Amino acid sequence: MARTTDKPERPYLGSAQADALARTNTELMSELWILRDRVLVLEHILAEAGLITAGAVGDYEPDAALTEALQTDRDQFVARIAGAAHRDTLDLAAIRASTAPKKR
Amino acid sequence: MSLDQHARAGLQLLGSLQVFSSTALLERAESDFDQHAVASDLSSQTQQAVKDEDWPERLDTIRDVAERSLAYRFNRFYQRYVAEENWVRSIVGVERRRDQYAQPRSAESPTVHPRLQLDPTLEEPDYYAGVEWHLQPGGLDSYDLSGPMAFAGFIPHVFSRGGFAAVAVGDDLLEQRRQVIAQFRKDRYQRIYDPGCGGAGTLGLCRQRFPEAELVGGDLSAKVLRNGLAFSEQRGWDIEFRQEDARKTGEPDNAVDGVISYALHHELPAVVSIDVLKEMFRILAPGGDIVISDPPPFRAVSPFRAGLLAWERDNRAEPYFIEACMLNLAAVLTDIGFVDVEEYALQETGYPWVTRATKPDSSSQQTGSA
Repeated sequence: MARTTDKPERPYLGSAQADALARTNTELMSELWILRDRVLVLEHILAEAGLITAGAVGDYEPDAALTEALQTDRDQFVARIAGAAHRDTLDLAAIRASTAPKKR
Repeated sequence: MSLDQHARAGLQLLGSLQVFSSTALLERAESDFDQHAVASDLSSQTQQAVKDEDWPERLDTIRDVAERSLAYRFNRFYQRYVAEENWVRSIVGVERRRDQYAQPRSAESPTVHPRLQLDPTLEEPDYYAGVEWHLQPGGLDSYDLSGPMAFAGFIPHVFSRGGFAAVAVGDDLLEQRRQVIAQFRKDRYQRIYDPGCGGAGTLGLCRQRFPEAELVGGDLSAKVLRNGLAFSEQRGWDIEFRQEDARKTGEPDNAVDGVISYALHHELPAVVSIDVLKEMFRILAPGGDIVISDPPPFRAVSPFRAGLLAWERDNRAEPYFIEACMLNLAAVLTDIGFVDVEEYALQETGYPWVTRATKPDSSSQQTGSA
């Protein structure tokens, strides 16, 4: 029996597939904000406790080792997300490479 | 007591999304609509002249034109998304702190109380049974921690920002309700009845305006009555709550001199609305006043705005929204026998829309069909 909370048959964005993608995208936007909110709260708490000064994270300049570690993380992050729509098959070597230990 | 960071931030994001959707996107969507040739034809015909039987086709045309705008499509998509996630994120947030929310509430919300009359034999009317109002999963009575869900969850973080249904971004919902109560024609009332009170919100504000009045609220839902009682008792408002059908209240004839309803009639089929108003006529004493506030009728807004209101029916679990917006409450009140019937908007947006009237002093003036 249909419930009044069931999704309407008529799609909002022209197709059910477009709706589904938009839902995923909006959920990601939410999670991204929740994470940003958490980082800002964390910085605030650390500053209140005197462990960092206000703006310390924004002004921080990573040293060479941290810069390299961040780059490794960032490259993997982009490859996972940007590559998600372009994977045609499963490749063991690629999967293993994506889990390689991060350089520190 | 607050929700945890994840729930709070997630709900606040919904509030921001709703604001963006109802400002930038909605303005673009309305502009797109107005530039369309069909929209000009629709606007050239006054909405007041549209016959009831012509509304369904007209609303379909409005929707089809509006959907040519990408901004409109995303505006509606985000409206629906927020309407769903309101509940999901509030419930998840409350569940993560269930122990903290559940304990004090069980002591505050009794099932037996001198100012609470529950009727376990009351059968849900057909029009009401099974409806998950506003997309609330399982319906009004489904969730035991509905109070925290609302007051720690979506009300402060999402609803308070406006931008849904007839409510504009930035609208002060509490002040709007206060202004509706200010539409009562007299400064003093002895006994005020609120059919479909939904809690203590409206009657609590009545208590502030009419400190001496007896206040009575009726509703079908035991849960909202219990929540309303708990809220009222905490604030010393002295409100009586009764579980009953607004078409057949426990009030004797001529028992009250004021009736207030806020956002009730759009939740009722038109035939039920009419029966409720007949019952209000019965319980009102001669000279008593009725004040009704609901979303505006289609005839009072632009074609584009009428389309937005109509959208609520199929997308926010508001099954009677369209027939409610087609119903002329002022005409119904007149037919029943009320006099001095007036209808008007309190804001330029058309909302809150107020209809008010008075039961005539002399029974000889009661010429209606009640």
